[in-house]
Amino acid sequence: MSMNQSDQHAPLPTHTTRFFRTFVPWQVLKFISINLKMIRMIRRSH
Amino acid sequence: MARVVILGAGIAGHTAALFARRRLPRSHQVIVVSPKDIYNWIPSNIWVGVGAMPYSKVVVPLRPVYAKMGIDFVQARAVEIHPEGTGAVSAPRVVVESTGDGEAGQRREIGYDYLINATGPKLNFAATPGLGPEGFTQSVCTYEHADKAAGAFMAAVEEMKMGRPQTLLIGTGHGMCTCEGAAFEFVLNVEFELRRHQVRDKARVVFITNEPELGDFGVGGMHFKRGGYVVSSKLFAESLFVERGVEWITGAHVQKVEAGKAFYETLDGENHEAAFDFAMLLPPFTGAGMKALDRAGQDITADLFMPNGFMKVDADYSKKDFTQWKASDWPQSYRNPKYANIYAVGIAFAPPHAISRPRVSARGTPISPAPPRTGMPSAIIGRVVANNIADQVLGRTRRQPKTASMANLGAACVASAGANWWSGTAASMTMYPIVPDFQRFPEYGRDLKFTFGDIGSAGHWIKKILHYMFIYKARALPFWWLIPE
Repeated sequence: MSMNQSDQHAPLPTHTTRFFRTFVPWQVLKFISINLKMIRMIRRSH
Repeated sequence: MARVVILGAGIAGHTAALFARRRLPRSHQVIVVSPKDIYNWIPSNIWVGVGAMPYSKVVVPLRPVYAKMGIDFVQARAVEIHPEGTGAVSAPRVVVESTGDGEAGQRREIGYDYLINATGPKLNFAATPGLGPEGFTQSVCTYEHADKAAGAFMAAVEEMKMGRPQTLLIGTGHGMCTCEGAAFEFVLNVEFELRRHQVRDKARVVFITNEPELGDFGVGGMHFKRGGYVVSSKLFAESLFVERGVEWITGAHVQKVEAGKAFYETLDGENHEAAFDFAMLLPPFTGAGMKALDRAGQDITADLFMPNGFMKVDADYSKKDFTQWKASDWPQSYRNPKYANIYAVGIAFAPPHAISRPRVSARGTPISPAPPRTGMPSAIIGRVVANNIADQVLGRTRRQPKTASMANLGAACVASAGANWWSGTAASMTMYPIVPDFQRFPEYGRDLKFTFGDIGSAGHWIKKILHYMFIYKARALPFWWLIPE
């Protein structure tokens, strides 16, 4: 209800986590993994 | 010969038209009635709104697509439905009012055997005085709005480059809005672009939403398995906002907007003001506002539509307390209960109730997200309804009609958080089902095997690839039907 009511509780990513978010080799693997998960969900929905 | 008339050429209507045409031989007629002869891939409007994509890349001219496919196109808006015909003529028909060049305002009747209402929402800026591009705020609901928002955003960036700090207020412009996900994406893209323009230190970015907490997205939030824990989308969204330095206001109903100032009430019943230099606030939606008349000309709008203008379908609309809501309340076939040849798909169908728990402020003002039914579920529903109609036309009645209840459909949502192949990211989220079903999944209402969230460049690549895939599909280029909704 108010501004930033929970910011003191929100977990912040570490430097390593942020690095991996845009680290291409890791993201290529993520790309494959997310696509497989989405395809699995889409197959269940169609 | 059967005639299938589709009102609207948005994501649901255009998908329905393409599938109906694909399934039905040319001896049957498919007609699309839409006020615009342009299709807009709305999920990419958030990139147009920050100047990261020209609007020409999110639109597809419909006339060449329909000419190629053998779909008749009428540039008009539907104003009346006569499901029993008129006077001596018993054949059902719709009255449409032309919006095309040279004949704007002219009315004509179009008969139908099957009618699909895919008119989408009316953007109800009038619900909040001062809201919208005609008032004091921007919108990204249409490509024209998004293009105008980009101009205003770039003007704010120029101010910051000249050393003048700016406050950017982004979110929902009314307590009963939907599509909070679009506002969430837009605020993260704004923040990303501010960094790219090297003016982030001059900007205060504030997110204002009718959601009771961040990450609700109008679906009551989600739970994911991450790092050995089950975490909520609230934590996921708040973490992202804190990391990006975005402030937030939740449970807010914007009452009115004046030049540079928004007035809002929060769930505790308190009134507040928020000053801004740039604001993008989404409007609430209503139905398109068609009337329905019986054969004698009596108004039967209440038989077809709910008071908010959305069309009644095979949902359970009985008034129930939140604790009594069930997955089975949600429609399966999207067929009107009184007129079996009328269907409503996408935003045009009336949901039985919200998905998030309804809330009112201490002063009795309703402040809670309306249920989202855009994008993936909208297109799936359009396809299922078109295929079921084709089965009826072709006499394949032994086949069970397909169903598309949002309590059985999942959704993939890729929320962009910055548009750049290398430094951009997006939050990839899926949920199954969209409407929580606590009978099947007692703990969280959803199947955690199919519900997940992740953020990174891979999400942005997926979002960008999906953009090109869906534009390809909208153009009905070879093998378009192989691309899932």
